[in-house]
Amino acid sequence: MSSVIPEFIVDKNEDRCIKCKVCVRQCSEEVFKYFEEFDLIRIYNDKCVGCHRCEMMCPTDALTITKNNALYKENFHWSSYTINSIKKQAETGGMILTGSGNDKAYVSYWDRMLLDASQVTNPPIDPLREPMELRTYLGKKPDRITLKEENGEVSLETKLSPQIKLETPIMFSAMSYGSISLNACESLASAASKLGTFYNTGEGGLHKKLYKYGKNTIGQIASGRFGVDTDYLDTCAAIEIKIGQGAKPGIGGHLPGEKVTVEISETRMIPSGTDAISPAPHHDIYSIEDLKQLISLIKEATNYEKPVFVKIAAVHNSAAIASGIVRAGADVIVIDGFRGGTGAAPSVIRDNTGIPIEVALAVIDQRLRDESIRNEVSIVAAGGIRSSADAVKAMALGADAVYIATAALIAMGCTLCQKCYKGKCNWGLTTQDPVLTRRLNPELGSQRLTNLVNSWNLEIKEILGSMGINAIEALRGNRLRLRGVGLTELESKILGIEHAGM
Amino acid sequence: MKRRIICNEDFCIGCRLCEVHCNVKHSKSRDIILAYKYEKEKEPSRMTFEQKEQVCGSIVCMNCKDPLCIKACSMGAIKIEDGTVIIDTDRCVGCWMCVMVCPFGAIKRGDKKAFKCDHCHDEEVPICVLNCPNKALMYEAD
Repeated sequence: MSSVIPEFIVDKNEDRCIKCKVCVRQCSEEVFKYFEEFDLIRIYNDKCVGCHRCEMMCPTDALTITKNNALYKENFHWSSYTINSIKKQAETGGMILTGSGNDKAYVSYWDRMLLDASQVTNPPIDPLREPMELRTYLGKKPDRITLKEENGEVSLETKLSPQIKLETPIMFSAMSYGSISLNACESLASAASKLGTFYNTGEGGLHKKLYKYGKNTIGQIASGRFGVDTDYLDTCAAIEIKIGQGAKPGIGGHLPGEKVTVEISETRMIPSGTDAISPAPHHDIYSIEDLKQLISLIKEATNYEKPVFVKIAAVHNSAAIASGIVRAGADVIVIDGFRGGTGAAPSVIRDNTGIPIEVALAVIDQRLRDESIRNEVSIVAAGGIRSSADAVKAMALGADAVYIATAALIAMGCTLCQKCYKGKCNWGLTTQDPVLTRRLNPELGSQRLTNLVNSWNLEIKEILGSMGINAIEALRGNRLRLRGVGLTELESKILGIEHAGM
Repeated sequence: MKRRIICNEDFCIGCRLCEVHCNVKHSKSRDIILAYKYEKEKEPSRMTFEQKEQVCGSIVCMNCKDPLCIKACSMGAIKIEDGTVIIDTDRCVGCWMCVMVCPFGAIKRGDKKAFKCDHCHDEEVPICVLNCPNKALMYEAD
């Protein structure tokens, strides 16, 4: 007998229930069971993970999923979550696993920053009447440029480092085929190509079906080196070396053998049915010099035509690490904050490791400026970007672009039940079960992602207009357009922004 | 105008909401709760839902160019009107020959009369297509 009290209560209103059994058919956790003999839908609360699929599919709104408020006596120090965790561990002897990003009540600095707007002396611009530029180039920028003039035509003499062109400073962050379904990957890829931006393969390799989106693909190379070959390097528009992930800094990845289907095994280039283990470190990277070797190797292999990204989790001494990464020759640095998501991580790591992206971004941008190497690298902020406002604030703090993944999953149906690691995702996202993966029609998924980013683009243009600027370039690293509210002097100093009223 | 409802079984999630909405649309009250819980006269759904292991999908009348049901009907109760196959219930005697010959299993036995999908001729888009949560049901008109 389990001593864990159910987290949710599934309430069915009998006056509204028409016994169509949609709930029975849709719940992959088998919360509902129909007994024909008694014409009864029996509900098992203990199996409910709170994903709300049944609630949304029920045609008569007969179902309500509520939090079990009777969950243990209220205790400020010993929360119901803590008590249940201890009980689960006492029963199983294992680590508590979880999915998606850190959900604990740490401060969100995005919510402590306000944007500036123009009044009287510096007039705002109407984005509906005047063009607004969101185009962004990621890659190393030269110290200076020289121009040459021939027969009255001016051209660039300086040879530029490889750049990738984004029509919007929003990209889709790394999620591997394996952690998410192929339909989800295809939705992201096709949305990225429609939007003129990029998505990231995660460490899942590139499925044959997705090669056609190569121009909008960032190929990741992580510690397991899954799916990396010449075709992969040739097809992707940029290559990302993943050192760490915001949700689980210092922790590797583990795709259990039962999820490694034939197609995944072909894409990852490993035997089917075997565990795909990404080690915690890259076993050939133990120093900045080692990282430099891998970056050089990739550049050599791709004929110096593709920018190389290096992704690190935001941790205590990120600024010094970032400086090393620039000196190792990376074209783009990706910083993943502690709110970033994951397909599976030990709860204790996800909830207690890393630092906020706002802080890491501010200190890295400042450090690189102080060392006069900021132009040698573009910075991408990732991990918990919830809205266009967060994205704009990130850019004002110094980011060149942002990565979104949790927001993208939500657009495709995710309700953040945090059970990605179970492989039974009711929305067909984080699962490989063929019955469940078909719940995401890539055509619909891609449309919803495109809508999301387009609406954020509109909002970003509106914000820029209100600030009286007509290009995202003019906002980048412009911390004067930010003000803090409710920040201590030290917090303001670290973020490099003035407090409201200053 | 020929109307066709096609199911892409790659994306049919087997929720059978198409059946539910079809039933509501063809009920007296057109209200989901009244139709299911209070109305006495109920017909089986016009959709034929089929499932074999992991593959499933809904099939309805395909409005064949040269329908076998018309040939099989001894009463001349079935005709094509504006591209849509229609059963004249006044003429139907319930011999079920149309049910026997339909290659899609799309004609159903009602109370002594055959009936089938009417492609919601009074709606712009058939109700099942409109309510398919994963766009597995697609609608073509030409």
